[in-house]
Amino acid sequence: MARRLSPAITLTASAAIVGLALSACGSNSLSTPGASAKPTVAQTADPKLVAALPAKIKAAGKIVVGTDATYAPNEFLDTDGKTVKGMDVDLFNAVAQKFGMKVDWVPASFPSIILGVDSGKYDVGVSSFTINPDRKKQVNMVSYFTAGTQWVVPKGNPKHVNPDNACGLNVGVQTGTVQIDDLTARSKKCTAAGKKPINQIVETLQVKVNTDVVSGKADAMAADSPVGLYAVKQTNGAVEAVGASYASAPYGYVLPKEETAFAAAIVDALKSLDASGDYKKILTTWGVQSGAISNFALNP
Amino acid sequence: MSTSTSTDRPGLIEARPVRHPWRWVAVAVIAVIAAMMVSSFLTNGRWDFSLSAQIMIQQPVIDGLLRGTILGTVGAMVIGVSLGILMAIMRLSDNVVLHGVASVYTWFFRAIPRYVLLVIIGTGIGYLYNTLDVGVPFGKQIAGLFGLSSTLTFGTINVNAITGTIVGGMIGLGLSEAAYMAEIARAGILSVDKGQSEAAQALGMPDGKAMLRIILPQAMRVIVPPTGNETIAMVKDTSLLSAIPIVVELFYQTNAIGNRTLLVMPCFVAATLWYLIVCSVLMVGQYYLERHFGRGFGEKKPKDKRFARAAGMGGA
Repeated sequence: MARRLSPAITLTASAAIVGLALSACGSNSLSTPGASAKPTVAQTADPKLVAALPAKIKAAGKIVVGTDATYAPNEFLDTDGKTVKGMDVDLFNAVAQKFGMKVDWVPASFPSIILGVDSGKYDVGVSSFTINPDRKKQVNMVSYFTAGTQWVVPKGNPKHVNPDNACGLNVGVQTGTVQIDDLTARSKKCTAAGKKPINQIVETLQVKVNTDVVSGKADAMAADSPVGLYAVKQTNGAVEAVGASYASAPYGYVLPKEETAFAAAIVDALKSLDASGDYKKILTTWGVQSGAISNFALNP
Repeated sequence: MSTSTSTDRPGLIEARPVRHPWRWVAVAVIAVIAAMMVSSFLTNGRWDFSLSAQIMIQQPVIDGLLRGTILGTVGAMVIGVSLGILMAIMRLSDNVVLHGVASVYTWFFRAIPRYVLLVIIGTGIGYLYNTLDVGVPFGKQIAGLFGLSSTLTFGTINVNAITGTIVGGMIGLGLSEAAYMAEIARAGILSVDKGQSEAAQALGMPDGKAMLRIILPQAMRVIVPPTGNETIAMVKDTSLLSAIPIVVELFYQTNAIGNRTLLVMPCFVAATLWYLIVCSVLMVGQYYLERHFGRGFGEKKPKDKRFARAAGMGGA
């Protein structure tokens, strides 16, 4: 009987050995795109801001932030598969330093973040949230950046896509984004003029939208300008931007409705970062300084 | 007489194997299709297999494989098998409450898709119950009624701290798996002849001991093969953990590389290859496990030469 079982035991043992060997030889060699220079603009805590911290955060010593780390270059996982990095990360880390706090970045699915902030799972949601009336009804939002919509097409624009006249085309877009509303409005204009509607190809992840454009499933895509321009840079010219970015909408940090004092303090922290020039420095690291704003506000 | 017998004897049979021309046609078609596939692998640069191989050995991907896929499978199956056997025994109980609870459990978790269940665990449960207080039901209300200082709560579990980890994933997949395992275990227990439990009773064995010593060991023969299948299916279902999302998980990590580099397809290929490897290893393991528990039953017949011969090669 022992002899009979031995293959299974050998199998388990060899699987364990393979596992150990693998965990030893894994590499981190895959090239990291995006900004490599880490902005090391360390901030000093401002006692006035520290006083505005909610008791729960003060006790924990850290701000727990929910983020959908699939949205390069604003928030994405680093080569170690753990660290969240990006423009949003660098900027909010600086904000947190003003409060003398560290940030615990927790990857989440995008639609679950506002719910998570509401339920106290996250203290703040930082994930390229566009500020809109529906969201403002549910949570407090602090504006910190403005992104336009950028159209991206395959190299050479074979379908001669013009964002202002995209009737009858297949346009890729990520679910839950402001671009869906934009495309729906544009499509209505098409049908009103007696033309074919815009066919939206809705994907759960932005990277799938990019792939649809490269594969030809979509004739073009509409995305937030930093993300669209990142795709142009990252695909080595397989796709290109078409038209200028338009309809700028502010990004906002998401906070629970009851944390109005904390939200107002974040506005002050952003203002002092802007005054010291660090705000622009961080945006420049990620090549998105064109989206800088100066009128930071709570629920603008 | 002797001459007549020699002339009466039938001549040698000139037997020829039946021709199978269509088999040759089928083989030719398959060969062409295979050649087309190989040529597309080699000539279409978008496959980029060398990058896939590189992605497969990235440290986070391997961590995801070991700590998410493999550990997640083991954890979910441990929860699933033990809870499943418990549910099967409860379902076979004469007690109406036990039987009812097991029936409702099986009904609920067999009817809810795993993806939906995991999304609910990842987001919804923490929204409804930030923390789970373990204590007397309505303890706070009762305490208020009698003006007690205690809230009759014994301990508190922070739900949000669990749901985002692999433990939350194991619980979700395990709860779902238990419903299927309950049915498998029930079939196994019912497959043991009633005479066995009667004989145990006649010897004065209590029901619990009879179950552990007599019934379950014999039920294993029926339980093990489908359990192996369930384990292999579970390896694949761990990819659903990206719904929670759980970061230390193979498919999440390959996707993360795809999101960063925008090279999606090589990442999918890398994940596919890892799943193929892990499942292949498990299938070999299952073969030996089945041979061990199935000994004495349904021994395989000696191999039939006809089936051993390659199809189409000379026919039979």
